[in-house]
Parts: sequence; C-alpha cells; structure tokens
Amino acid sequence: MQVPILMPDLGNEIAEAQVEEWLVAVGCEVKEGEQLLLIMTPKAAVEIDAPASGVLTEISVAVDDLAESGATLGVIDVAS
Amino acid sequence: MIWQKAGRLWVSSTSHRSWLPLIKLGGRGENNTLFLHGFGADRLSWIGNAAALFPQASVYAVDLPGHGQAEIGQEASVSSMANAVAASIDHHQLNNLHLVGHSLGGAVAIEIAAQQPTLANALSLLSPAGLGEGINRRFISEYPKLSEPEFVIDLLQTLVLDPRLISTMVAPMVLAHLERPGVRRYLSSVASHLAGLEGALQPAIQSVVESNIHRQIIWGNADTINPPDLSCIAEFGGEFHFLDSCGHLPHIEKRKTVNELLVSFGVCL
Repeated sequence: MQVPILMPDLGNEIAEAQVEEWLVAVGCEVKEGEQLLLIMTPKAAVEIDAPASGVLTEISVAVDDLAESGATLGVIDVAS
Repeated sequence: MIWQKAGRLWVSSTSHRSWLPLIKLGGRGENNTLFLHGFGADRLSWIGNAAALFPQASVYAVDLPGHGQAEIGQEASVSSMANAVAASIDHHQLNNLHLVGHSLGGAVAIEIAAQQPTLANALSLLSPAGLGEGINRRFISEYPKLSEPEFVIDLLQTLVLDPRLISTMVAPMVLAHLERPGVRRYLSSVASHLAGLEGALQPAIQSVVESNIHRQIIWGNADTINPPDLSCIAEFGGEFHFLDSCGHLPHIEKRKTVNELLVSFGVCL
C-alpha cells in the first residue's frame, strides 16, 4: 500500500511552502512519526513526520520547490 | 468601533489609535483559540500549530501593536497591549476562549486574564515573559536595530537550538517591517518595558494565581532568551511542561509535542 506524505494545512493565510531539506533518501526505511523533511514558510520552519512506517519510494517535491497545502510531497510504500 | 474589510475584523482600541487585526486562521465550532505571538514576531509564526486545533475550535491570531500588519501603539506596555487585544476579543465575542501566548504574548495573556477574568477560560503560556529570570537584554535591544540580513539570521538563531529552524526567507521580511515608520522606535520602547517586566507584571500574576482559570506553562530547558524561574512557576500553579532539547521557541522546535499539549488542554473548555 502506498501512503502519500502530504503538505499540512497551513491555515487561511499561507497557501504554499518551500521544501528546505529532505532528511531521508529514497529507498530508506522510515518509521511512523520520524522526521522526513523540513518545509519553510516566510515566518517559521515546520518539520514533516512520516505518516506511516515503510520505505520512502518517491520524493515528489524537490528541495527549493514550492508546494500547496494538501499536495503530495512524497510516497511511502507500506508492506502489507 | 468595528471595521470590516477583506474578511477581517478590525477593532479600534480605546488605549491605542491603532487598528488591531483579529484574523481567523481556520477551524470551527463554539470553542475559540487565540494565539498571541512574541516580541518581533507576528501571527504567521503559528503556522505549524494552528491546524492541529482546527478540529476542536475556531482558531484566531492577532498581530500585537507594532508587529505584523498592526499599527504601532501609543504606549509600549504589556497592559496597553492587553487592553487592545481584550477589546478585539470582546467585540468579536469570542467565548469559551483558550489564550495561547508565547513570550511577550504570554505576558499579554496573563494581563488579559487579570484585567478581565471572565474573558478567557484557559491559558497556555509558552516561555512567557514575566515568569522567567528576565528577557535576554542583548536580544531585545539589538532586534530593533537590525539592518543587515546576515545579522538578522544570526540573532534569530539564538532563539533555537537547531539553527535550521530559522528560515533564510525571514530576513528580508524582518528588515522590511523594521523600516516601517516608527516601528524601530516603538519596538525599542517595548524592549525597555520588557527589561523591567518581572516586577511590573506581579499584580497581574497574583490575580491569576488567585483565580480558578485553567493554565499550563510550556518551556524549553535550553531557553537562553528567557530562562524559566522555577520558583515563580511553582507559585503560579497549573500544569508545567519542561521540554528537553528546546530553546525559546517550543511551538516551532517541539511542534508536535506542543500541539498535543494544546489540543489536550483545549478539551477542558
């Protein structure tokens, strides 16, 4: 099963944020709750945690690219 | 006086000529949460926290006078800021209110709870000014004088243990804000006021101590900007959460933990 890593809801005032750094590479195993990446808004950094345990199979938004709230940032493959 | 513009409610305070923006970040329901930011910050600093509360409350944030989009205040005191915020809360009829204040915003929340005990049901105070050993003088005196982007980042990185958490994007925004007419002078006045706040806030602290308001304090154990005064905190009462490996910005540095604490505390409303 594939679980998307989503850009969190940033509220009514900020529509998008920039990916600052991926802390895990594609192909690595991750645990639910583990920090995966750092996103930046003009005022604060936000760390994004893994929504499930599995293997990071895809990085959909590269470093320095922008993504909107709800966008898929990457994908975790969860062994069934 | 209330002014409606672009979906925002602007309230004229009796103690300020300024207009205080009270902005809904999201959420719904009869319970309300209002975020109060720290010195030099603005309402957008809660970006990583607000959504966690959307399922249980309507979530608002305010720009304190001289910060964000708010006009500078006539007075640079915590009590005048509290007057202005309380007027906004009152006019917007925010009932079942959970006030969440960081640093300067924490002191403002304490002052609001003391001035108008029925206005808020619960206080969550993050590294609040007035309950610490004193705000770092170097930080608050240098901030209004910043003029170079690299110095902005250097100074703001003293707020946190992990320097990556200070966005390089913040420097031009800070400098643009400081260039607004009167802002540097106003923030310098706020800094002077904060330098003697521990004594000035004592009556308000005592009022809250004697009240039944639900309260929790969240503090980083590596806070060098406003180190906690543990005896003062014990006397203040309520829940106390001391977070490991965390500086002056627990809502950013320990976002997940802080969000869980805010959510669980908000349930008591």
